[in-house]
Amino acid sequence: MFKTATCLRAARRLFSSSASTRNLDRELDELAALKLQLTELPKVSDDKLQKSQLVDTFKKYNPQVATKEEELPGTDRPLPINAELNYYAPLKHEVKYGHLKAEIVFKSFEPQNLEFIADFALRVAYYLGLPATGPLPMPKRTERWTVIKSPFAHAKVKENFERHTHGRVIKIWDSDNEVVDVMLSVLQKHSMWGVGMKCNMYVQEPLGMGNTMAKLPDGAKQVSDLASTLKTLEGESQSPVAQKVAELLQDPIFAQHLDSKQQETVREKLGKSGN
Amino acid sequence: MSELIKVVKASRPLKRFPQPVSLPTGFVNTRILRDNFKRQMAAEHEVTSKALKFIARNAALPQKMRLEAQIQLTAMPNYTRMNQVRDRCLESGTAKKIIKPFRVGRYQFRLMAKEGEFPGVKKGVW
Repeated sequence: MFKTATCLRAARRLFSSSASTRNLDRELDELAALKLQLTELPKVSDDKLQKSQLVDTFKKYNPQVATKEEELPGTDRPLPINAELNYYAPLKHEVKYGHLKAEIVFKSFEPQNLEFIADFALRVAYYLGLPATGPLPMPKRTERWTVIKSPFAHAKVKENFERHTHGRVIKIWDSDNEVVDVMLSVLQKHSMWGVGMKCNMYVQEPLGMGNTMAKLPDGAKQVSDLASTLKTLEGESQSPVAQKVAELLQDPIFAQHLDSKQQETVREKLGKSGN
Repeated sequence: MSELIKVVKASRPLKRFPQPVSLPTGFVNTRILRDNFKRQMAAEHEVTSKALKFIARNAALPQKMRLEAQIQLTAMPNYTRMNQVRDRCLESGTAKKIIKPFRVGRYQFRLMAKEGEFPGVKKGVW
């Protein structure tokens, strides 16, 4: 330590002595003249310049990990982020347009499983990218039964029983019907005992329904002749009742009340389903 | 005379019901059997009676055809009508004071509810 300090001091003394002998001012002037000769700096293209500046911006940041990554006991890896999210309230996508697509209603006699499944449904909605709101608690439905205690007579002595039905509603907004179907099938696959599920789905119709109805021909509005009846039966040809009606209309007991032309049209329209 | 009766009886053995039906599961007594028979018959004839009703009530069809359908409807035996069946207790067969959601009578309901057979039902305290 001491040695290096003395060395430095000696070097400084040497430099100052040599500068005085060489005339430092003159040398500096020479150097300045040299610099003036090369006034034009080498040009760099804008792209390269911007890129080099971008690299500089990284130096501004001081990246830090907010939560400490801890290894799970028994495994040599940390808890995945989506698993860790289970310890927090479910995330939700923002409702952007406010078009109600579906209402999923859960009902149960016990609130515990209900809370769980509603929470699960919200998480499913989040990971499928569906904007969901809820869970909205429904009013508790209380059913009570008062029965006579004894199997026979003694009707003054009664006993009360009751059942509470709890409900939660989750609303799905601004989404595609197919994605809602996927969500429902996931919920059905992972359904819980004691929790019922119901879904009301909504479809938006264009305005001007009344005008289109007004433009319909008269025959489409009312069922007043044989042709409209036959059309209805044709449309419902899968239903067993319609098949039976078709069979009866071609039965001679009933067919005798139709004129020959009508009989022919019946045979034409319903011939297949009748046989 | 008695011999004649015997012969008639042998030729046409007495049947409990006009049509053969399957037995109900669970508790069985004569009234349950009767009700079960009516239920099965009603189910069997449901399509026919609905088709006849469609014809009878369809104003687009000729009046005579509708009348014919109505006559056939009335000609169907009573046991084919759903209004003939009555709710009966599945456990004891009684037809009185049936508690609808559980399909049992009041006393059986009380016993079963205390056993915890019905999910969510407990002693009412309020």
